[in-house]
Amino acid sequence: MLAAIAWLVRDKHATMRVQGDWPITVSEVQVFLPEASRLRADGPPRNGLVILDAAGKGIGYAVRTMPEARNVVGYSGPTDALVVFDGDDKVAGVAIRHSYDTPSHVRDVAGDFYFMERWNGRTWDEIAGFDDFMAEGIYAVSGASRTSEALMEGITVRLAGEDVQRVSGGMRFGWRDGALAAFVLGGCLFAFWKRKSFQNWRWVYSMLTIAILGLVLGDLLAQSLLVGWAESRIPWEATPGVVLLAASAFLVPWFTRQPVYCQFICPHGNLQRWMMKVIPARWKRPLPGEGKWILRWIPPFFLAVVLMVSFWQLELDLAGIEPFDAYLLRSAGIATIAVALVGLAFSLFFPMAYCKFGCPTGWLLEFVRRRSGKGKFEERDGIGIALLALAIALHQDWLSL
Amino acid sequence: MTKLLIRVAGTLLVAAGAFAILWSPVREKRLDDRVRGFLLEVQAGLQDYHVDEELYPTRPMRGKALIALLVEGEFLTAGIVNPWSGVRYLESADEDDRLRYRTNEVAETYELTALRPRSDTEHYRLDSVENQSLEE
Repeated sequence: MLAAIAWLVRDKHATMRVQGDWPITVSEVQVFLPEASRLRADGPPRNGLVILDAAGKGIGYAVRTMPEARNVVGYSGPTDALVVFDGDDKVAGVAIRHSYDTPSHVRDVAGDFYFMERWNGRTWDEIAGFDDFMAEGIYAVSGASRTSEALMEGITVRLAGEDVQRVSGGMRFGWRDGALAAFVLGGCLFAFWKRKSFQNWRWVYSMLTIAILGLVLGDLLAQSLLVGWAESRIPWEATPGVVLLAASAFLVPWFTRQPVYCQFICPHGNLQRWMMKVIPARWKRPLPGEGKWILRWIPPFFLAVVLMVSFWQLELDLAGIEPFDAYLLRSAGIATIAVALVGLAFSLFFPMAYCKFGCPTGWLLEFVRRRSGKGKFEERDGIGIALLALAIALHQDWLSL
Repeated sequence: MTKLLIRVAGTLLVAAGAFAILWSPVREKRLDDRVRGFLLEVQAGLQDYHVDEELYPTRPMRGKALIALLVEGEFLTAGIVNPWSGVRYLESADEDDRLRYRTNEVAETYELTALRPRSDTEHYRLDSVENQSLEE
């Protein structure tokens, strides 16, 4: 069911990308070359636009990185950037035109003038030949590293005019990916190796997930990430560690019935476990049965919202409906911080309240978890069918704005 | 019975909360679509005017004046709806008149600008030189 929903999302967005047409306008170029008056289409090999002044004299050149860079995916989607060259074929400016990536990260990158202006003064051929950005003095934006890295690679891919796979040179496994793999391995060990002397160290692992996986890496599974992947593609070669984390989160519970990500790896889950210990047990209150029944509907309704945002392309940052982006302290939006704090406050009195009653990503991971009682139609199956029906209706435009 | 009522009311409340999240983005998207459709309709009327008169209207105008002119020449129907207020454009209040029209000194070009509600920032621009399409 989930695969079918993901396919519907992907198919819809592929159609929109192919049919969509977002030509560069003179006003965009005038930000960097104020004397620009007209744009003239230029054919191969550059396939861009010659910038003309009022007298019809060529004063520069402009290109957009899409659609060539559509496979260069940041945190959750590709970014279309404008690159404007002056008459000496040197970059006059770079701007983000549109992005399928997480909006808050995109805003951080666009607002980082040091990063955006590091391209200025470099020639087309110089940039096309980049294979080590740090050696060129171009560093990713802190708190939005994957988005800025995708922008960097997208520009290079576009200017090199080559296939993404060739330029990126296949899979890149960096220290972040190594750290994520170590967290996956650690989570699996704590889930399956029940030796007491080993389990005694679980508190250390739990602290490390909060500090390193959450606050340093910020690579938590979230709807914004999963939807972005469904809309474009899974960037396994650029972020193999995150893909491994996501794959383990879905596949391990499917094969083994163990919810490894939710119970062991998720920093927000672990933080809630620590919160449970903050106040005495006697202050905690059990939720009434009806309250539990009602609150269980929150994640499925959130998933319906996620589908509508994706299919209708609404201006709503999905990072804001979950607490996970709050761990990116420098770039977190108010909504995600509010969700995180409210969820943690509730977990003081109602243990693991957010995990149980608020987390759409957790609901999805629980949905794929194999259980005993094979063949029995459960409530979650009914919700899954309803979500699939909603996705079909949105895909077919039976539900439109 | 009470239990069932509590469950139904609670679930409806959760649904309302979830869909409240969508309220503003959906409203914005629908307004976007209406404004785009409206601009394309006015542009078509303007092009018909240009074919007939061999010039675009010669002076800058607010939306109401432009639409009155195009309706008078039967290039637009009087029923054209204001996307910001939902009523007929010619009957809508002045504060809902968020369309602006400009041309060059020889009236050979046009520029239609739709302004955002509650601010005078540009929402969409359609013209005969640079922004000939609203396609994204």
